[in-house]
Amino acid sequence: MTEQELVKGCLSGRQKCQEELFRRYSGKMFGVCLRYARHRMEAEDVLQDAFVKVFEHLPQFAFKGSLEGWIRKIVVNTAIKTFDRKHFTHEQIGIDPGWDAIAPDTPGDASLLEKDLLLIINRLPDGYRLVFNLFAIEGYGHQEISEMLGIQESTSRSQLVKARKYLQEQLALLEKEETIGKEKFQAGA
Amino acid sequence: MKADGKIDDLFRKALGDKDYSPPMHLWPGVAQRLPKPFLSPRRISRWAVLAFGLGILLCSDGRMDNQRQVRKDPAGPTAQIATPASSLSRSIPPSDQASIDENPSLHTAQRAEASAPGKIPRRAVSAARITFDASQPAPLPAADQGQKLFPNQPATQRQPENPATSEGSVDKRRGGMALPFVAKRNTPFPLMPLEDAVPSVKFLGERWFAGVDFSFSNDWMQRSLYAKNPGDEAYVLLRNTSEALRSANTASLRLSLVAASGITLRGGIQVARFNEMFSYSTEKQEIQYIPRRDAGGSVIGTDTVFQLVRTINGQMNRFQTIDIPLTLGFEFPLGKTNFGIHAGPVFNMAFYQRGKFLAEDGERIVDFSSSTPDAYPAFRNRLGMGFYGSINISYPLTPALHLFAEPYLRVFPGSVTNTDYPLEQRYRTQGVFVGIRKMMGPYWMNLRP
Repeated sequence: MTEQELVKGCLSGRQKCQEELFRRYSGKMFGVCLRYARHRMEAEDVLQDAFVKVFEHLPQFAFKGSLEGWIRKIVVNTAIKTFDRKHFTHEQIGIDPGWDAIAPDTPGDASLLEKDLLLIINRLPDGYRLVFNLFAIEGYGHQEISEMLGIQESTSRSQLVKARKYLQEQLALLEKEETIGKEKFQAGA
Repeated sequence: MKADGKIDDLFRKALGDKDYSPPMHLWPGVAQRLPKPFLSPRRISRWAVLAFGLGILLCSDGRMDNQRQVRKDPAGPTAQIATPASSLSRSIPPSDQASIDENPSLHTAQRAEASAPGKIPRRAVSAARITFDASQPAPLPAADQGQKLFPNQPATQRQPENPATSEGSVDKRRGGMALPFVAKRNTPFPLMPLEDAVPSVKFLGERWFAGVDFSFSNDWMQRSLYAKNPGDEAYVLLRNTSEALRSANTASLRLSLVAASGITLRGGIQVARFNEMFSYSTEKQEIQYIPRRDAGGSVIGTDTVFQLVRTINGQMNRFQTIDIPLTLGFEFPLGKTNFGIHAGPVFNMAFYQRGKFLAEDGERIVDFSSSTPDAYPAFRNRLGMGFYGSINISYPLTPALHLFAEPYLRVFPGSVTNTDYPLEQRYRTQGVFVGIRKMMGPYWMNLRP
């Protein structure tokens, strides 16, 4: 089924097409959500919300770009909005925003390096994580990020620098752990 | 800066376009939140069938009207009212019949009717509007027995009473009716009452009209679950959380007898279906062995990952009832529209079910489909008696074809579950039947006493 047929099927309300669209793009989008969320459950929530929005706004998709890019944009925006909402809720009820920052339960098909990188990214403070994801992985500029997050451009820059510094430290730590592990393994062998 | 770029590249390459296996266990949650299309393909097909049926009925009725039109038109302004063939064939001797055939002024319709013995015009409403040409005398054969058979006859009889519009002698052999007479131009026959246009019978001192109703309804249903013992309350909760009501619909075919006074008797068959979604999750453990490699790429060990995979499944449960409603009601006209109120018992003939749900222990999933030989014996095959009440609004498209809408309530006070099953499950449905009523024609006429 081509992309166009899939979209038309979804627009006519055929559930099989909707399911096929979800099957086709949810894997990649889940990866996006895992980067923005602090753990797997939050990523699942974001993915569900995002796909509901995708189906709701599908009539507005004009086939001008790729469907995947369009869906990705919705997923990223949903992730940002979820973060805002969550942050606000935590502030209202007086809970530390980091309360549910538990170790991520990453998918089984992620390799060890990916798992480690994902773990490091998930441990980043919310603001750092969002800016780093948007700048380094999605490729947005600081001006766009400042508009998307409603922050100053300078804030975006400084958060990116801090995020990189934190990641560097974490990577160094990981490398050190691996070296120790390797030495132990060799000593044991 | 170089180090910064390296970090960005590392994360972008590793995570930027990472494609995981689709998390399909999230799909039911997404599907549930999607806006339902106003007309799903299945719903469209249902409405198409209904529209098709309605179209056939309308077309058949329209075709009859066209035939009547053909009978009127050939003689143009000198057209006469079409006399029933039965009255012609019975009242006119063969010799006179021959003279009618030779008389060019005699309306073609009479001959057309005469060539179809036994055929009775079911409605003469449109015929009653025919006007006459004063310049052309036209013989009108009398109908000694047609008075009974042709509802418009009283109107034709009034015409000779007017000296300005009638002339000629009275033929004693034909029941003393005056013929021929000359009708005045643009003198319309009065419209006959609607009830005269629809065949009826006299019974119990009342004049009864019969009609066949066909209707369909998309229903709202309510299900109630009660625990027979207080200890089973948890099971009620479990079933309520794992099952969701989806949709219900009912199709109905009924015979309606409406008395001239407004009393209505109804009986027929109703087929109703309730759909429910049963969601359950299954879990299984997956073991994954991941090789650990050193910087050179050689395997230095393996990591074993135990993962609990949870899958959410959906099962559409279907319950179907076949009922016979018998109702007593009252209908009254308000303008052209008829209003009615009906109530009575509903006798359930059969109750079928297909699907799965959680067993009493809350852990097993059992199949209760009535077609399965070793089905879980939770449900009954018959529900006994219920109650049906409705309000009816109908509008005559033609005297013989009515369009109606009927908001209704149907309740089965008894439980649909067996006595051994720990819960009582009851249903109540409301909906609006939309359908057509076809008043019965010549077939009903044949039943006249």
